[in-house]
Amino acid sequence: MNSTTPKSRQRPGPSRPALAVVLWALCMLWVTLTPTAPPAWGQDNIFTGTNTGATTIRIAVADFKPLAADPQTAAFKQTFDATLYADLAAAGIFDIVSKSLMPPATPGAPSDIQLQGFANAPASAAFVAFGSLGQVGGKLVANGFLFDAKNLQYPQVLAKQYSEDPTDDSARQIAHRFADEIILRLGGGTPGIAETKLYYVQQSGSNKEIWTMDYDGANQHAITHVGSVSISPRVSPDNTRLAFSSLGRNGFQIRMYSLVLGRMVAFPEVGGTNVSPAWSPDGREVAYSSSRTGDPEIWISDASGNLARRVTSFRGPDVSPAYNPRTGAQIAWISGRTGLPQLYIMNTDGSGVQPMTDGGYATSPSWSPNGQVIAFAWDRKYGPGAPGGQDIYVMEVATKKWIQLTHDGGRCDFPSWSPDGRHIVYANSADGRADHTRIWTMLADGTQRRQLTGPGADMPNWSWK
Amino acid sequence: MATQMKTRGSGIASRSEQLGGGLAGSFALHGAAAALLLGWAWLFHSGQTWGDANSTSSTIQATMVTDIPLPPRQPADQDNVLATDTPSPAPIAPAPRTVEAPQPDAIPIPTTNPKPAKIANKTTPPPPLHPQPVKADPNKAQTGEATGVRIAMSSAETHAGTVSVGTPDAGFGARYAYYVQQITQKVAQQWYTGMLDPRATGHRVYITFQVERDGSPTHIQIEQPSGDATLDQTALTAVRHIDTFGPLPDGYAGSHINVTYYFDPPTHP
Repeated sequence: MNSTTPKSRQRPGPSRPALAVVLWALCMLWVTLTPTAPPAWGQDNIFTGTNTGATTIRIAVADFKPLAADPQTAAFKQTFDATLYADLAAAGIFDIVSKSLMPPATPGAPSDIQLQGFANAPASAAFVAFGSLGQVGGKLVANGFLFDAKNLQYPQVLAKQYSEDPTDDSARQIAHRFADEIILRLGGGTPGIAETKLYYVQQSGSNKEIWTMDYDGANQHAITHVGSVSISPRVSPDNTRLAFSSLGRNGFQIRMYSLVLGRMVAFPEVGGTNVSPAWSPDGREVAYSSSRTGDPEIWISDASGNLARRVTSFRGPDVSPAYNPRTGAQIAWISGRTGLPQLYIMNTDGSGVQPMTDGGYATSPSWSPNGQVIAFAWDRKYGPGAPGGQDIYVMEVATKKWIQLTHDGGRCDFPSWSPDGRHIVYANSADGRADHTRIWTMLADGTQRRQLTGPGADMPNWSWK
Repeated sequence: MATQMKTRGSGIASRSEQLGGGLAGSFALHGAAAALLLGWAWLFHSGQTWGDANSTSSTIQATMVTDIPLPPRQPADQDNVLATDTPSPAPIAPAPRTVEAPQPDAIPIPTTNPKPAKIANKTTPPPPLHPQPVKADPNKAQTGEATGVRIAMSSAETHAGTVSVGTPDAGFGARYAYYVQQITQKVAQQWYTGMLDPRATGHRVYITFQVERDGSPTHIQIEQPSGDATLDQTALTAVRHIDTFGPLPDGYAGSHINVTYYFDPPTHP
C-alpha cells in the first residue's frame, strides 16, 4: 500500500486544469533551463511526481445517441449501452458515475457535449465515454469518444469508429472492443479483457462436455460432443487449441480439440490416468499429470503429445501443473508427497522444488499473468470437524504471504486468472453438492463477485487474451 | 559556641567521607553493569546486522497491492483482514546441505574408468517438406470484424458539410493531461515505501526517463540524487518495475516523451 494515498485523499491537490497549467509551465521552464536541450521534434517533456492525485478514475458512460429512430437501432443501442456500461464497471479500475447523476442531454458527437455538466457535481466525472450508434448503408456504425472532463481546453482522449453487420451480437462485440480500448488507454497499458473467453465444463445428465462463453457470461454454447466425461479444459495461448482430459476406453486421456478446424486432433494415448493439462506460455509444450508408471507424476510433452518427459519423481501423487505465464520457466503444482496435497513450485526441468504451503488441503493452482502471485484453492484446516472450508487464496511467490479471497460462500475451487491479472474466475458450490456448482468471477482482491452461469458448470479456464 | 562549630565541622567532614565511599561504590556497580551488558552483547551476538548484504528483503520485494494491478481500495489496518500487513506463517526453506570437505590425509579410492556409452552414428533424416497449413491469426477478426478506425477527434457540422478540426501543437502536459496523470499514478503505485529510511523525509529525488511510443520506460536514471540512498534506490526500482505506461496518445506525433519524476517520501513511512 502506498502510504501517499491517504495523505492525498485528506488534502486534495489543485484542480486538474490548474494542475495541467502548472505542469505545462514547469515543463516549459525545464526545457528552457536545460542547456543541452534535445531537438524539439519527436518528443516532449513532462514534469511530475508523487502526491499529486487520486487513485481510482471516475468515469461517466453516457448512453449512445441513436442516429435513426427505427426500432432495430433502438434494440441494438440497448444491447450496446448495457454491455459498455457493464464492461467498464467490471474492469476494476473505474469508479462509474451512476446514470441518474449524469446530465439529462445525450451527447452524440464532440460538438454537442457539455463537458462542464459532467465535470461538475453530482456527476464529478474525470472522463466521459459517449458517442452515437446507427445503421448506415446496411452496416451498424458506432462512433465512440472518450473525453477528459477535467481538461476543457483539450478534452479529446480517444475517438474510434466501428462498422459491423447489424446483429445483436456485433453490437455487443463493438461495445466490448470500445471498452477494451478505453481500458487500455486509462488502465496503464494493460489490455482489457472484454473480448476474452471462458472455457468450462458443463454437466448434462451423466455426461460432462466442454463449453465456452464470453467473459461476462453471455453467449454460452457447447464445444465438444464427446459423449463421456470431459474435464479440465485449458486453451492454448494463441486460442487455437483446447486441451482437456476425457474418459474413454483407456481411462482418462489427454485430448486435443482444434478451435480453428472445429474438430478433435490427434494426441497419443498412453497408459494410466492422464489429467490436468497445462499449456506453456509459448504454446509449444503441454504439462500434465500421468500415472503411466503407476504413480501420478508431472510429465511434459510437446503440443502434439510427443517427446514426453517426466519432471517429478517422488512417491505420492503429483497433479495440476500450472506454468508461470511470465517466464515459462517454472511450474506450480500440487503434490501429495508429504501426505495431504500441498502447493509446490519448481523449475520446468524438475529442479528447485520449493514447498509453498505446509498444511491443510491445497488444490488447483493458477499462476497470475505477471508471475508474482499464485491463486489456488485451499482448505486450511482440513479434517473431520475442522472449521472453515475450501476457499480461494492468493499467495505472493516471493514472500509466501497469502490473502484469503472468498469467505463463507461454500466450497470454492478451480481459480483461473484473467489475462489482465485483475480478475479471477472460479467455481463455487454454495451447499457443497457437485451438481450445484456455478461459475463466478471476482476482482483479484476478492470484491465485485458475480455469478456467470447456472448450476452444473465447473472448472473454468480463462483464455490468454 | 566553638565546640558547637567544631562538632558541626567534624559532622560535615565525616558525611563527605561517607558520600565519597558511596559514590565510588556506585561508580563501580554501574561500570560492572555496563561491562556485563556489553560483554553479553559481544558474546551472544547472532551475526545478523541491519542492512547487511545478506538481508532477505530488498526493494524488489513488492506488496500484494502492486502485484495485483488494481487500485488500492482501503488503507491497511488491523481490523481489515483483507489488507493485513502481518505476514502469515510460511514454510521454512530447508537449509542447503553442506558437503564435507575430504580429510587432508585421505587416500582417494581408485575408480575404474567406466566404458564410454556407445552412441550409434545415426543421422536424422530431414523433416518431410509438407506444405504447412496457414494458421489463422486469432487476434484478427475471423469474419466481418474489424478493429476500430481512428476518426477525427472533433468535427463541426456546417452547411457545407462536416469539417474535421485538427489538434494544434501544444505542451504534452496540457494536451494529454490524462496521460501524465497515468504516469504519475502508475509510478506512485509501484513505489515501495516500506524500505525507506525514516530520515529520508524531507529529501527529494529526481528521476528522469523516456517513455517510448509503445509506452515502455527507457533511459531510467537519477537526475538529482536526494542524499538518501534508500530513497534513491526505491525510486529507481519503482520506475524499473514498470513494463509499460500504455501506448502514447493517438494524436501525439513524437517518438517519445521525456519525463522528470520526483519522489517525496511520506511524512510517516
